[in-house]
Amino acid sequence: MQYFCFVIVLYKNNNPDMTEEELALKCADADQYARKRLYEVYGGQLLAICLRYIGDRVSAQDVFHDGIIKIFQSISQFKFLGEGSLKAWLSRVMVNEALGFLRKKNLQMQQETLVEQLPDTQIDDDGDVNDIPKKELMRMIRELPEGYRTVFNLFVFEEKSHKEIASMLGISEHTSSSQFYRAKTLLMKKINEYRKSL
Amino acid sequence: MNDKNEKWIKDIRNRMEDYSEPLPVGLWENIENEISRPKVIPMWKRWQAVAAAAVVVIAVSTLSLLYWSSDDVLKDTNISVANNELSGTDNIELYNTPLTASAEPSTANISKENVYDVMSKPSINQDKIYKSDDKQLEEKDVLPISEELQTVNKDTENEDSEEQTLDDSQSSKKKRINMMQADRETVRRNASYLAMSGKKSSGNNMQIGIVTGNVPYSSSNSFSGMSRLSVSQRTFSHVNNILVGDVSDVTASNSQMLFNNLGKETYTDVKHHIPVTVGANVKWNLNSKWALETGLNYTYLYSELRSGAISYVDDKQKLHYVGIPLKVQRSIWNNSIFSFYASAGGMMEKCVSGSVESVYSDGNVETEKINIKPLQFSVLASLGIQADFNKYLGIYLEPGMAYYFDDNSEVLTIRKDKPFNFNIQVGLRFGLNK
Repeated sequence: MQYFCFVIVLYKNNNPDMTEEELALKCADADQYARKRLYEVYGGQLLAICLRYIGDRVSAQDVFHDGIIKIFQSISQFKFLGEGSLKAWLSRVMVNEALGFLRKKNLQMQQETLVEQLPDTQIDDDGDVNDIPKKELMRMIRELPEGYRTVFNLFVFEEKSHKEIASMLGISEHTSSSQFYRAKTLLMKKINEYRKSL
Repeated sequence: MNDKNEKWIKDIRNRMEDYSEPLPVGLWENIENEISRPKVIPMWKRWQAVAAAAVVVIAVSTLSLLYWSSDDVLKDTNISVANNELSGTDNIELYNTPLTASAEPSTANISKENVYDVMSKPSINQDKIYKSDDKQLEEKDVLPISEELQTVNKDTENEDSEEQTLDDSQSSKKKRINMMQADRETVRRNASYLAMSGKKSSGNNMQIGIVTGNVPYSSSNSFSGMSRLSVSQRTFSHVNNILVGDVSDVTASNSQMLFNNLGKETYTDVKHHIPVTVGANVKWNLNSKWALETGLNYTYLYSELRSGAISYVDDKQKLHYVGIPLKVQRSIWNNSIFSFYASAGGMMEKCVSGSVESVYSDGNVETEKINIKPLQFSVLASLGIQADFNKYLGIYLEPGMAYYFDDNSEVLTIRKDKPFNFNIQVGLRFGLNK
């Protein structure tokens, strides 16, 4: 007497080159293959975003994990607006997830006071960042104090104005711009240090 | 200054925007599990549920069937040991009742313990009785009981003068009746246990079973470069064919794909699905501790591969194996229902049939037979727990680990990808009676 039970796994799809739009639609359709593909194509960049906002790798991975799940849950809301819009949308979801995490954390810890060691000398030399390895640059951004880092990220990468940042984070516009300034100065200092260490 | 500032910001943005972090290993599997759980039950899970349900249904129906039939056996046949015992019990009961009845009036204030002593004696003697002949018991074994009862009665008369219980004789009578009933029950239960164990040692030295086993996970990996699941001489021979001038559709799509991907960063994604094993086996109990098990297994391996960059090829590889396991089992601990054992052994598998279906991105499909000559050897060790429903049927669960040796064939399977893995086997064992 034998029992036969075959595993039947059907992968419908398999059109080799899925466009962004197709990929999003299939993901909304809960297609496993498309989901994996999306994860593989965009996951690395999204993880980098988390890391850039959160700094600490373990928390960043947690946020990334939650963010990916949120993405799959809400991808049906995504509207295709041309090439690159999927990545922009994904990044936005991930940024929001990261900001939510930081907000929660700050509520717990009370906004840390920003009496960081500021470089006393003005650095006029806007060093060229293009020759700094990306990995190093990432490390430097991660090492920024959290408050600076959030403003910096929003201003530089999300291209938000200080007014927008202020309303997003519940701080004054002035705080936002001064934090950005400090972040920038600190980052330049780090870049200079890195150059010297070479 | 402002321009400079702007440029610097832009530089950082451009530089970091596409920066990608390496994805942590295993995270996708987690996410996949989480997102797929509530929405869609994957096909294999449904199948597993069906299989599990089938096993349960079969188990329950067989079980009830056997219970019915075994009851009949107990009642009808004279040769059955159980029957002898049951009649033995009846005899005991007959003797018990008058004995205690006669004891009652003389020792009205017998204490509970004494009654219990007296009443438990027959059940102890019972063990002797079962082994001895049915007729002897009436004459010999019952006699000491009555003697003992008398001595006990004397004892109680002496001792109880101090600890006179003021029990109402009515209620104590009731208690005694209850106890007698309980005792009779115990005796009957003992008898049936004994019948079972007797059967086991005499007739059950061979068991047959059906089994299904799974490595509970699949395996997937990605790497850059092109690859195929079963690299036959195809690719190369086709190249030669082209030179000769014999160009088939498939050859064309293969070379077209390779051409399309020229200079592109290609990658390969392989997914080996969960292997499925089913089979039947036979187990010999060499003695009470050791047993030998062998049988016949069927295993189905399914793998998918996607390779390329702009153009893809999708391979679907299906392999059917038939295997013969040989295992030695050592019993660790058991009682009347559960038994634990450890088992170790090896398995020899032969691929009896296999095929790979390649779908090229331009729509051409090619199906090819795979012939794997070398045998697939493996070693395995496991711990098992078996629950016997009755003497005929037991269900067992065997988690273990297995190592698959490389069969040196060109075909890529989960055995090569994950040679060492954990698996779990579930099965039924039927006892064979002579």
